[in-house]
Amino acid sequence: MAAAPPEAAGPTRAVAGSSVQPLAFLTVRTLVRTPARTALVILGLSITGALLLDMTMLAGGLRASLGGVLSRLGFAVRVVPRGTLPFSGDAQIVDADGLAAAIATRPGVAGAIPVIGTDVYVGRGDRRIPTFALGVPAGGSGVYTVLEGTDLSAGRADAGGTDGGVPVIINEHMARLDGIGIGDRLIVSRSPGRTLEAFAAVETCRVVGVADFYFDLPTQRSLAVPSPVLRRLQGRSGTGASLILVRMTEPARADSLARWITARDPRVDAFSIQQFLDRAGARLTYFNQFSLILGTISVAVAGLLITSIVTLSVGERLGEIAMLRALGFTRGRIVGLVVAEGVALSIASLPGALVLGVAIGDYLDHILRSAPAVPEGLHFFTLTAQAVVRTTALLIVTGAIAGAYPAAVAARLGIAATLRREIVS
Amino acid sequence: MTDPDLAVVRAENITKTYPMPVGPVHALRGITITVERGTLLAVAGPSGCGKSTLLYLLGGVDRPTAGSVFLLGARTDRLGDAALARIRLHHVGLVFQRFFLLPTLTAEENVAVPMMEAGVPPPERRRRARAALERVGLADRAHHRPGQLSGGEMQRVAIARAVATQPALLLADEPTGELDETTGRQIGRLLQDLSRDGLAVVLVTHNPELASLADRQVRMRDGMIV
Repeated sequence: MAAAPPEAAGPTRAVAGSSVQPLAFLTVRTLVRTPARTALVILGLSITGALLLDMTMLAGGLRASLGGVLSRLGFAVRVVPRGTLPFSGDAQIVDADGLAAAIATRPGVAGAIPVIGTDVYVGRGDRRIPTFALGVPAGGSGVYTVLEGTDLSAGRADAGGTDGGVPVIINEHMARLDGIGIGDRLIVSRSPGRTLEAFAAVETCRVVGVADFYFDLPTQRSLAVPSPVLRRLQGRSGTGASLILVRMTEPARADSLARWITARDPRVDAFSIQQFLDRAGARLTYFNQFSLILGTISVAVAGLLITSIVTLSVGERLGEIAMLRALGFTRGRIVGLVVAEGVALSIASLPGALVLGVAIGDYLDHILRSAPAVPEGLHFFTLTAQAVVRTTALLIVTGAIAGAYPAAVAARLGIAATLRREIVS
Repeated sequence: MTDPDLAVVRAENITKTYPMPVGPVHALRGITITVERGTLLAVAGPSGCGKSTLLYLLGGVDRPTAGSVFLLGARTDRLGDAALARIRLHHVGLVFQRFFLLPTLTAEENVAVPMMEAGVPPPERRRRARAALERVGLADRAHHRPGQLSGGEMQRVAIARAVATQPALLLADEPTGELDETTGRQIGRLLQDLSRDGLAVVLVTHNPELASLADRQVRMRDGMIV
């Protein structure tokens, strides 16, 4: 007798085990076998998947949202005193006007605007209202959009204390909350009280416009005055500024421009939006750690849920699995069959996970955004294609890995022994 | 006497020993047997004498501890798992005492399962599944699920599943063990018909009436043919 095994004969016998169709077919039929149990598992996976999506949204969403906010403002490069972030302290760029003028000559630059930012108090009768003040070049500052009235260029740029007063633009929140309108006079000081005003610079201002300030926090009062006025209030001389904002006609040159700026003046840091996000990202590590821990927990719960249910299902079908092996299914095909059950459960839970995740994320985002000091337009949970893809991939991989243990159990079955045991039982 | 040209499966001096904590159990002790095309062979004997073990070794479901098994002229006892699975898929049909039908599949789909695995295209698969069900007298039950069939009908679906891949060897392990006498007789006749169509059929049974339908009978005791 020959030593070689008999060959499969005929065209219909040539492709054994090559198709995924039997796996998909048998997997679906296995899952519908216990519909209530399968539905409950899918519901459980949808909930853990929703948490996973939320954590994925949180991990990348804040950064993506911050990037979106920064991009919408239209400034490709930001220049700050070395080691600081914009408006994070009273440090100033020395000779900011000179540096801005130099930057404006670089290729691809549309304009460079030095901006001063500091806290002031606005006097209305006996009240002293804390307000954030921006010192900007008169006209065309680009850090706000005038909604009502005129821009600073329409008033007297840097005069103070005489007939009309220094022109000032206030934000909508301040106008609405304090009942201030165009033409009203304001006393602006660095001092929180009337007594101390005697020792501090005071400017009498006249409101010439109401504007939407791009850097506002939701409940923040803001005003803008010409830069020399704010420098006087700060008691500073020279041409310093807190920040230089650079608009570019060619944003692709932002990184190289930032390098040029820091090389020209080592006392400053210059960031493109990407570089700024990288630096700000270091301050967002709490969110990343939070999302990593909760995301890992949700993946683990999903994995354990799938492992438990598929192991239970395999335990109930040992006879059938041994029968399939006896009929000619290889160990590999049985492994594929069981792993496919785990993956199918994951895939079936995806629509629920996405819908639920978006709804929960939206609600959590609303809660977090209602906290003080959160800039307008910034979101913590941002639904991005990357978050959806990452969640989908994580759930599917989890399903496959979770199916590995029951698959190994099924693959290790001795056919004859299992059939005998099943028949005897 | 046997004709080697007609031999579908041949076992030469096979033994099967199971190592147990209390000492080895010798399930088969040097059995030599040949089953030819168109033959219905009945293997009878008391429980635990090794009938089912012999069946599984002939069909490549298990491997002998010693000895050789040849299927369609090729030695199979030294093959790896995947190669043995492939041989079972294409050349061996198996019927069990319990039917092991998949409960969420219709009769036709159950019959088609091995053909799916064998890569038979869907139209051909359906045609062959229907033909197999017709062969066992269940054409009108093709779309019924196992829960909607009687025990005898379920066993006939299992037989249709076993023969739909057009194997050379059909192994039936106590196929009437869970059926009443009348239904058992019908199954016996069906197996007889299949052997007359050219299939080599090995039937393990306790039932003397069923065994009497066979062309040949062998009796086993303590792992040996007596």
